[in-house]
Amino acid sequence: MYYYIIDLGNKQIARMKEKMEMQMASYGISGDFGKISPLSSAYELTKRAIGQNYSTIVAVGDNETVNQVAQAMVNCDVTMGIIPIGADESICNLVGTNSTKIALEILRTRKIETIDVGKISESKYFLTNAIIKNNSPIPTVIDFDNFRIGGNFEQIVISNGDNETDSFKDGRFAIKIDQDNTKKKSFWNIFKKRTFSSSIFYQDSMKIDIEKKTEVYVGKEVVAKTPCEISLLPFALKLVVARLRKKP
Amino acid sequence: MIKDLSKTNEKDTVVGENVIVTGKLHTSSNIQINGSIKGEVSSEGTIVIGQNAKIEGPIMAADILIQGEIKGNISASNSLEMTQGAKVYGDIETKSLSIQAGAIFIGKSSMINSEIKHEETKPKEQKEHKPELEIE
Repeated sequence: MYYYIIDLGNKQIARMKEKMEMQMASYGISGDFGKISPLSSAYELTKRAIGQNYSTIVAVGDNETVNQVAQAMVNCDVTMGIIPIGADESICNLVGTNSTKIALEILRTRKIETIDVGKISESKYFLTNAIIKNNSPIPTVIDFDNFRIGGNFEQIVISNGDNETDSFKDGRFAIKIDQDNTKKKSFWNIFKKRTFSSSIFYQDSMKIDIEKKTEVYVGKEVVAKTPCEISLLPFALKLVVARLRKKP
Repeated sequence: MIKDLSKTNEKDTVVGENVIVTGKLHTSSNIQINGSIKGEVSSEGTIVIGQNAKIEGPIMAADILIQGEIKGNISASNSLEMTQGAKVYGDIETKSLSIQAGAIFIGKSSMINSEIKHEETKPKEQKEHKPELEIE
């Protein structure tokens, strides 16, 4: 039995609901709907549905809905599905489509993969990426298992998986660090073009410490502040994905 | 010639300019280093040390391309290439070595398997030829 968690406050989703229900019926994947409201968040609805023995819980919506449903389903035996509506590219890559119609077909074919999930500090999880962004370069230290890196960083993106089929279960994050390499700020440099450089590391856990307390974002939501620990939970979530996952 | 990793899209580790790494950096993939490293660097693939990179510590990989500065011993199981402007202060060990004019190398070098090759190139001793027909 399927349980769809849907945000009808989102006009785009509300408009599509009837059409989706018809397609679900024709595919034999009809189910119950849990409507997100100020009184019941996607997280609470998911926790409740897990207790009611649904076989598949489907997040219908954007990154926020998907992340909240995933948050409640980590290390749980129930399978998660995603119908991305208004979700960013990383979520669409994870499912294998950005089309609602194809997402429903994917649910019907029901190929299940057990994927890695990112964990921030004690109890916050993310499926695709977490971002730490400063408006200017700030001294930062990142401790990995065997080495430590330091520098004045502007943005750190911790990604679980990318466009490759198996990268959501490869047991490591791709950590991309951007920094501004423009020489000393002086009057003569004001009009000079800023130059950036990037570093990329592949690791499964890290401690991030930034001189100034900085927010950690998952989608648009602030889930933690630095200093924080980020680690990978291998094979922690059962997810329905496309038979041949490729960049949508 | 070892390819410059900065022009590839593979899943390589990249240490950007002005980044300082301390400790043991080991990966199974390739590494492009443009910053500074204090510690051991090892890879099962290729390591490219960029023009502005500075490394203090031993380096091990299959193939190593050096354009920057290294203070430490280097072991390349396959090939080692130093380009113009490279500075190496330490001993090197490799199977195939290439040093361009303008590179600085202060240390000892030894070639892996060189002894075997040396023996192979020695002239073979002539065997005694027995006559095929014996006359009584």
